[in-house]
Amino acid sequence: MEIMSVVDEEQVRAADAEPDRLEPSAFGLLYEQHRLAVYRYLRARTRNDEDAMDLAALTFERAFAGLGRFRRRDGGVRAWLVRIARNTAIDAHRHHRPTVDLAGVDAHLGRIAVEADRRGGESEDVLDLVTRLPGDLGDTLMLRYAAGLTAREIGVVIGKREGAVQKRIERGLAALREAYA
Amino acid sequence: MSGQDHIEDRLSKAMAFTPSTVAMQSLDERVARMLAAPAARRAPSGMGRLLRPMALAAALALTAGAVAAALSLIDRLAEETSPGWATAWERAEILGIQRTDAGLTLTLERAYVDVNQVMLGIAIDGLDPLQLGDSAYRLSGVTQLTGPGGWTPLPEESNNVARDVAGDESAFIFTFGSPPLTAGMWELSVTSVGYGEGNMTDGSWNFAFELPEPAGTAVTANASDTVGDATLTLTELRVSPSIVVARIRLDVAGTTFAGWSAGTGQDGEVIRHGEATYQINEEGIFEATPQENEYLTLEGAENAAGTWEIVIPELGYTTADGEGVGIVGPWTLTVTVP
Repeated sequence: MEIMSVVDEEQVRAADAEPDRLEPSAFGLLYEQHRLAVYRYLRARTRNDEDAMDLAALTFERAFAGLGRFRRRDGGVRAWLVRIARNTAIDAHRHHRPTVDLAGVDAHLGRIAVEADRRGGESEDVLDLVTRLPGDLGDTLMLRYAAGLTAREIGVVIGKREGAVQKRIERGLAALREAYA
Repeated sequence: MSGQDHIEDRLSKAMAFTPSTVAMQSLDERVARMLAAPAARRAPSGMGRLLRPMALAAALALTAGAVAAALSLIDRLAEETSPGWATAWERAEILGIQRTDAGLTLTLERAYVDVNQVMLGIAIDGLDPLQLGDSAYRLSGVTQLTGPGGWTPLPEESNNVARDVAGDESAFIFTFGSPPLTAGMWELSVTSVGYGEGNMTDGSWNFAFELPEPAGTAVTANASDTVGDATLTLTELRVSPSIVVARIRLDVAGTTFAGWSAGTGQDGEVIRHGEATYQINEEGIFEATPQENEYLTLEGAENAAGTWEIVIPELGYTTADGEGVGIVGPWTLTVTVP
């Protein structure tokens, strides 16, 4: 039996150095430090630069309004910001599509069947594949590779435990490897 | 480069979006404008500087290091993972059993068991520090756990783990679900630890310890609710200090399906008990029983007595043909624990 998880020591150290609470006076630095991660995650989700910028602006507005609710034990500043970004994107998606789309639900995440569409650029190819992964696998990969979150931070963002996140990352990567085999 | 490395590299490159200078400048300005109004309203004294947060960023500083590292690595890991883990860690048996082999000292710091999970925390001294880089590193341990009556955990699906690294100190805390419901002796054998294939240290670290009868209450139930053709049935509820777990079966009239999901954390999936409301944060799906899933919280309850209500707002299932079908509820499942 194997226990495993993703660790990035630099990120762990950085999170350890964060304060328990955030002061409004620190928001400028916070924004500069994390705007790229937030933007990249939203850009991956929306596939549209303009939408990503709009949602990023909303994210930081909401973050500033909710500064008093931040607690470091909830996963650190970056996870907190990306969680706000994710909720902002979900809200926007719901606004545009009032009915809940569960067509992608696949309870058996191991039975992922994705075929690579090799037309177009390589980056668009892999992004297409990621967005077509069932359930929250695609989102998990975006949180990992666009926002650069650790499995532990992703767990905070999506409300799952680190081990469950790691399994999702591995299943997502396995599906992509299969698609490119 | 391995296949996985290639895919990870491809993903990293594909998602390394670089906004144009103009676009980022526009975002900076938009954020500054949006911050202006609340800053002016909420903090009239001196907060006007937030109107230009980017220009002043260099002068502002997060109070890095202000929080003293009063807790040990493993204590911090337990406390920060979830409220339920913090409770379990607080109530765990303090063991402090040390074993040294192959240049590594493993300390089984604490162990805990309730009706939902067994938790073990191990500190590792002596692992070489991680080589830093852009890639995520994988820390692995190979373990075998045996409980009273010869119980062994189900493979991987029931396993959760958190870990942390600071210099050459590392710590694992891991859990397994569905532990035996009796007091008795436990044995843990660790045979390999390290950072993944090619970076593992093999050895023999064996621990024996005793744990009391698991805390909490487990009740079988048969509470159903039907919306359209879909019936959800609560078959078991397990309430313990570290977590609440509801086992739920889906039946869809005239349909066989390969699996189903209610999702977690976004659509109001909750468990209510009296005035307390617990968010459902995790879903357990078992290939052997495609009709039944488990829904888990990240915190537990001290007292199981009373009426419990599980609310599932919507769900989706996958037909045998691979088609996804979504259904909107809600389903409300109620059970009273004496």
